[in-house]
Amino acid sequence: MNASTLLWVIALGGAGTLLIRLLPMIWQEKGIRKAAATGRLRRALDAIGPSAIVALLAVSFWGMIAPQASVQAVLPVVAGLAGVWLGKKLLRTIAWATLAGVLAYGLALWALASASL
Amino acid sequence: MKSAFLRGLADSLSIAVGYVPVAISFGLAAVYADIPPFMAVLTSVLVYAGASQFILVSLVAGGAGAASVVGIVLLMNLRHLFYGPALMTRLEDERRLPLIALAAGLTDEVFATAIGKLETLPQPDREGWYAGLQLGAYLSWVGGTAVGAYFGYDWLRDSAILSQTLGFVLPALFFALLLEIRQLVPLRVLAGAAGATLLGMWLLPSYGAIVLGMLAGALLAGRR
Repeated sequence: MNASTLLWVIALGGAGTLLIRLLPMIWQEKGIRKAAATGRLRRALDAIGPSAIVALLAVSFWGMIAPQASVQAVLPVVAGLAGVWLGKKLLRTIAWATLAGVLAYGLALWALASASL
Repeated sequence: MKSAFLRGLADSLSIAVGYVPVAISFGLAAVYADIPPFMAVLTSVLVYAGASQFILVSLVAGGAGAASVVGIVLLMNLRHLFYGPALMTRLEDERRLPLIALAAGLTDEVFATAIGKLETLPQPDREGWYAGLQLGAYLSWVGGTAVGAYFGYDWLRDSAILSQTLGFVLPALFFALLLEIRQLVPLRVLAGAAGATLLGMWLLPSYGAIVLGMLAGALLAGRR
C-alpha cells in the first residue's frame, strides 16, 4: 500500500470511528427525556459499562491463557491478578493496583525463566 | 470546572499507566511493518482505538486492500456505539462542551474508568472531570506511540521478559477497573457478560465476543 492510500485509510478509519462514538450520543440527546423515563432502558445502559469491562477482561485473559494452557502460562497470570487485588486493597488507586499487578506478573515470568535455566 | 478538569487529568494516570506500554508496542509494530513513524503517530492521533490500530497495521503489512482495512477497523470499533448513550445518562442535561469533544476520546478504558467514577462526583464537576480524563488518556496514547515509533526498537529488542510483561498491562488495568465497579451492577449481570463473552470466543472474532458480552449484560440488567 503506498503512502497516499495509507493516509486515506487512516483518515477514513479515524472519521468512521469518531462517527461511531458521536452519532449515538446525538441520538441519545434528542431522546434523553424519554430514555430517562423508562427504567428498563436506563438499567440496561447502566450495565453496559461493567459488562464491557468484564468482556474486555475475558477476551484479554483468553488470549493469554488459551493458546498454551500450561503452568508457565497460567502462573504469571494468577500472580498478576493477585498483585492487582493486593494493590487495590492496600494502595486503593487503579494506577497503583495496575502497576502492582504488572510487577507481580513480570516477577513470576522472571522466576519461571530462571527456574527453567 | 477548572479544578474538576485537573482532577480528571490526574485520574487519567491510571489509564496512562496502561496506555503508554501498549502505545509503545503499537509504534514498534507499525515501524516493524514498514509504516513510517509519522504515519504510526497519525494513526494514533486520528483513529485512537488500540486493538483496531494493531489490526490496521497487520492488515496493511499483509497487503490487504484499502476498503477492507477501513471496513474491518470500523467493524472492530462498532462496540463503541453503546458507550456514548451510557455515558450521557451520567452527565448533566445542560452541557458546556460540544458532543464531538465528549465523543472523540471515548475509548474502552476511558469509558470504563468514567463509568466507575462519574457516579461519585457532583453533577456540576462531571463534564470537566471527564474532559480532563479524556485529554490525559489521549496524550499518553499519542505520546507513547511516538516513543515506540521513534525510539522503542532499541529498548525492547533484547528483553523478551519485558516485552511479555508489557502484554499484561491492559488485562491488569481491566481487572483493577472491575474491582472498582463491581458493586454497580448485580453479580449475575457480570457473570452473564463473562459467560456470553467466553461463549462468543468459540464462535466469533474477539471484537464480536466483546459486543456479545456487553449485550448479554445489558439484557440481563434490563430484565431485572
